[in-house]
Amino acid sequence: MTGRPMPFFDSTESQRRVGARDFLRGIALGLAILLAHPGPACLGQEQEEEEDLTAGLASLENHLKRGKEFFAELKFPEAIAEFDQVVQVYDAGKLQEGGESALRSVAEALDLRARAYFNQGDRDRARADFAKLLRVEIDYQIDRRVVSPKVIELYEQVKKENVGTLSVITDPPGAEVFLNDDPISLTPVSGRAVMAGTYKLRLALKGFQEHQEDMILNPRSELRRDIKLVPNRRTLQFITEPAGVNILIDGTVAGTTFGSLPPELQSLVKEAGLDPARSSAPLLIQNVEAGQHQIRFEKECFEPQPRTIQVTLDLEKNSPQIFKPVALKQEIGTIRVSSHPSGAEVLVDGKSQGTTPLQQAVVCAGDRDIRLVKKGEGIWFDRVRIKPDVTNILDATLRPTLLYLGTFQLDEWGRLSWSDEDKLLLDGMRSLRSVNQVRSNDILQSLRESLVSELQQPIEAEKLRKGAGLPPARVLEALGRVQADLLLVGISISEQGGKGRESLFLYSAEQPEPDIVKLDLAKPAEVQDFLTRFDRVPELVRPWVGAAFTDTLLGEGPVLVRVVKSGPADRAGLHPADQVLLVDSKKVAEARSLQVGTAGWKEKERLSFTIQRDATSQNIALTVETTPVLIPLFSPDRLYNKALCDYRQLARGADEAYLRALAQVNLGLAFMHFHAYDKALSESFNVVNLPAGVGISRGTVRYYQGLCYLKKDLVREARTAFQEAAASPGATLESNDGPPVAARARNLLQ
Amino acid sequence: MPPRPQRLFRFLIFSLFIVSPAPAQDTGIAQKLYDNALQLLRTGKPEEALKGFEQIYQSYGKTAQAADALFQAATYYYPTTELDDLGLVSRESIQKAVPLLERIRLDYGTSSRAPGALYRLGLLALEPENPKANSDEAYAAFTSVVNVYPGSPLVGPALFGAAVSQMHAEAFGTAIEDFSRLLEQVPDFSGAPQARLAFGYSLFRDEDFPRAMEEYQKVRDFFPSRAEARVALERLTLLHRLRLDPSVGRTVSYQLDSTYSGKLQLLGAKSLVSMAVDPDGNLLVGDGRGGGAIKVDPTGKVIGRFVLANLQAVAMDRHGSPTLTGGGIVLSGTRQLSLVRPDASSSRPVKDVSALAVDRDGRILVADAKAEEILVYGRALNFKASLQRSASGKLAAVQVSFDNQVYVLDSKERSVSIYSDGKLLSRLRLDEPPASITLPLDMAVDDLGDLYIVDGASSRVVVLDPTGKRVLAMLVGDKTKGGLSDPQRVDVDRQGRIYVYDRKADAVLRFD
Repeated sequence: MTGRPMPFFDSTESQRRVGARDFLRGIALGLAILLAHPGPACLGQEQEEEEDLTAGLASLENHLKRGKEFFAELKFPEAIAEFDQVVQVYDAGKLQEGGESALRSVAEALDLRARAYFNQGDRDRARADFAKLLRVEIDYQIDRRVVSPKVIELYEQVKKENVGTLSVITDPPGAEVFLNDDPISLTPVSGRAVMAGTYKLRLALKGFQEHQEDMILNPRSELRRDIKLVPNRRTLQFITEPAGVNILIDGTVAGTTFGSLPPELQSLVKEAGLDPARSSAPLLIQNVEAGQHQIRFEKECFEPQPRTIQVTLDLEKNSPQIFKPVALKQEIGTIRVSSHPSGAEVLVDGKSQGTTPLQQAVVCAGDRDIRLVKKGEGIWFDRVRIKPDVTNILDATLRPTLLYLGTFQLDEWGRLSWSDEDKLLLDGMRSLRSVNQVRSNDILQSLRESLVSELQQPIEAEKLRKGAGLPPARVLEALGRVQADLLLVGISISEQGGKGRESLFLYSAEQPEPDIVKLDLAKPAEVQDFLTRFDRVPELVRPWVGAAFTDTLLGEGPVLVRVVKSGPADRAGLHPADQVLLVDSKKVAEARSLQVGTAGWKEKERLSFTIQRDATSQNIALTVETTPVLIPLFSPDRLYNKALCDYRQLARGADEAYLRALAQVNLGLAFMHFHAYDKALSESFNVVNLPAGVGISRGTVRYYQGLCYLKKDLVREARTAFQEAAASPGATLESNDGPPVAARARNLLQ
Repeated sequence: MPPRPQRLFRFLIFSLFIVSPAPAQDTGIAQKLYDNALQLLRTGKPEEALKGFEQIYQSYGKTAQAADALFQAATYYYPTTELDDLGLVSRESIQKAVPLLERIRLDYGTSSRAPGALYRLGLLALEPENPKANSDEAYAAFTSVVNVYPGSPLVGPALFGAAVSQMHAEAFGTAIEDFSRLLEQVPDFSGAPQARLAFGYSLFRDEDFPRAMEEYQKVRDFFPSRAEARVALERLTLLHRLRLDPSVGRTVSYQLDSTYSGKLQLLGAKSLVSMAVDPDGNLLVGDGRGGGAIKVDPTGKVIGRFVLANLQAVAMDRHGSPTLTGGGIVLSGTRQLSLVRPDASSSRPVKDVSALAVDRDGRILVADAKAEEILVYGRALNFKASLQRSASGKLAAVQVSFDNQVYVLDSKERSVSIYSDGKLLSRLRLDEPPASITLPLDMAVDDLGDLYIVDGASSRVVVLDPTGKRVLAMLVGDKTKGGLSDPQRVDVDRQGRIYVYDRKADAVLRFD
């Protein structure tokens, strides 16, 4: 099996195990050989049959040879005895598998035996042998150079008494001719020699009804049959504009128009309103059954044309049924593509159209596979409907790629199978916007099958039951094979008594731990909640005023308790202990309504605060700005593997260097959530560059760096980092008005 | 990680290797015994049940049921599961529970009972009746739950316990870290409202009162319909009044609440010898002449009357339950017991009480006016300890703050002594500037640790910060509208409203 990590062995261990391995291999090989071959009894019977045939043919040839020798020595009785042996074999029916050469040998034996009988004066036997000879091989030619004319005469006489001729002509020709179900030839058959007798004649030709009749062929007579076959299919003729149109009949491609229109059909095409110069040659599609059919004319970049046709049989002439020429309308659209970051190559159905920002490209309308690729920074792909005759605008942010493996079920007896209970999830996933999604294909199918096979083993099944997800190596294998960043899989465990539990496991290529979400896949609310969490777009900044308000029973309105130094509120002139009476002329009842999220303020929005300060009221104008936002280390509603991929993407491709740095800090925090402190340090805190200052700044990074070092028991490095953090008086956590870093760092230093 | 949790951690790991599985036969027997003992417990036969459990962990120590049996026995003796329920269990029960839980910790570290056992050991280390109570031990036990059993549902309560134990130890910086961790890792923690309140208080004690106020506001934002939201609003008001405004140079001013009807006559009281206000603003008037106490709600409406002849002092706990004393009797809830003070060879009744208080754990503090001694009694009114003895002083008032510190006013010495866990923390001189109080008659303490002192010589109430070195506000008789003229008693509610008994007005006045 592939994908399992190899167990570790040291060299001595491996040497000890080599001998055992060889022994076991030998046993296995022996067993395999025994199982692959049939047992002794079966083997003997087949060999006997084979030996019978080979021995029989060899014996027959020997008898024929000796018979010929005796015949040449004129020892006719001895020759006859030998020839008898040959004929007996034929009479016993043992030469059906012998082929033409065997029959030829029998014919020769009969020929020579007849001549031997003739030479002995036994004309009757000679005659009988010649008659038998004709039944064996009706076209047998006696060698006239060495045979006496009297023998030839007898032979010819026998032939006349037993053979007739048959001629069969069909319209149309080319029908297969069967006599008593033995194939004879294709029509026309002319003067074919046939032994006299009663026959069943059968004629078969595709597109026509089969013809059968009984006939009696007399010796010395010719039987002639002229048969007009009755058609049961029809040929259809199509002309399209343009050429190269696939014609599907009842969903199956029957043909593709090609070439150019011959002159004699130009008027027909013009009458139908088509351009003869652009029309195809007529396409004949043969053998279409009579009745109603659904026809569809398709060509890329053209609007498909469906039709319903009625095919009728032309019993008289069997001429093609000609349909009205069909013109397809070209469907093209224009696309304008921008991406974040820009500079991504735009591919439409695999063909490059340029790089973003792409002002204009003409592409076929309809559902197109569009892919934006910026090497080293990410991709975006999806199936997009391009509308014809308009400019289709696509603004895409490069995003991670998700592979959904499906949901599989482990029942109480340890049987593992793929479940179809994830319909709600599948339906909901169609509307995800934050990821590319790998579509179902052969690779996915083979991944599933091999997983089922592996996880059904008792040890693996037990691990699943205990809540373990997929083996890490298999996750990496799956991600690698489809070049995905995220893998989602559902695991449903059934217990005794019908109780069960379902969980979704979300993995990323960044680190091995999954996010595990327990939910009921049959409950729409729970599935939607998961999808909403999954599709959450990570924010790097949010609107911010730099002030904190609380409720109070003193005075009117909420009171301002803290103003972030140099923040918007500070610069606007708001002070702690100011009481807020109105905002934009609206009374403020409680502090909650002054939270940015609740108030719905946007960046650059201008607000007017009416405040009470020292028994006087005044108006203060303030412009909303933004603050960086860091994700919490542990939040039960976050999917941290998704966050890892999102922040990785943003760290590469966000528009501004500062935003890329913020994304990198968040990447480090997401690694910390999984206790991947090495990665948090190497990929984020040790390399990111934030300026020193107030809010989320260098001091913030030093603090988290210190936490990582502490977790790794690198106390000296942790101390250095915390000391730097403690010396950053304005640095904060979470956001620009989050808790101060310095106080926390000092606590940890103690 | 503190050193002690590391040792615990190593012990637990070591114990994993010494427990080897029991034979299947023993497991079957142990299971039957366990089921039987459980059934006995459920049917009200605890003694037999405990014997059954004991048999399991003594004789079938290698079975999985042994840990369960130890746990059941331990929780029978110690059923407390929350910090709010500390102080309910006797010393004897504590002493029986601890060894059982310790055994689970040491010998059954891998069992499902281990996190629960550790958590209860943490609670026990905070129990006031536990002679070995130690906030460091509590912290170690709680953090072990978090670090060794990160998947346990007790992680949230354990983080909360760890933070609270740091508050007990006055290590507010560490408490802040633990609260942050709790609210980040377990945001759906069922005790989140209380945790945020405690978080806010820790921030205040760490002298970051703006962030303290923000944290209190979060209680209101996240839990608007909970009772804690109201508590948070009152704390915010107190902080606004006595920290925020002074920080920007504003003078703290109080206005007489003319809507408050505290006239004794209207309340049906003949006198006021003592009074108490609970955090919600309910007033308890101790009517010495009337032989009882009257409880009044914040609107001034009488909501309760209690009878006790020779009443001398009244107090209320934080939930508003009254305690009265007089004539050597203590009336607390439905219980009425004699107040006695054991001496070396005998005990004497305590009949002369000048002040009364109830702490967070339900213990009663009595100022014995005859012996000039502060006596501490347990919930069952069993004598615990003598907190302070004043040879030359006069104990006028005793109060317990929100965080269980005890304040004792000596009107003769003109000082306030502050105790924590029975140890003297500090002694403030009131007659020195800036307070310059020459005749302190009564004292109150608010949730910030500010002191409210009635100065009988100047007919005023002085509000001091916890150090006693800063005057935050003053209620002065001739500057308030119809206000103070002869203040005698004072108390304060959670939002900082001051209640003053003015003898001249013969009324309890409320200032906001």
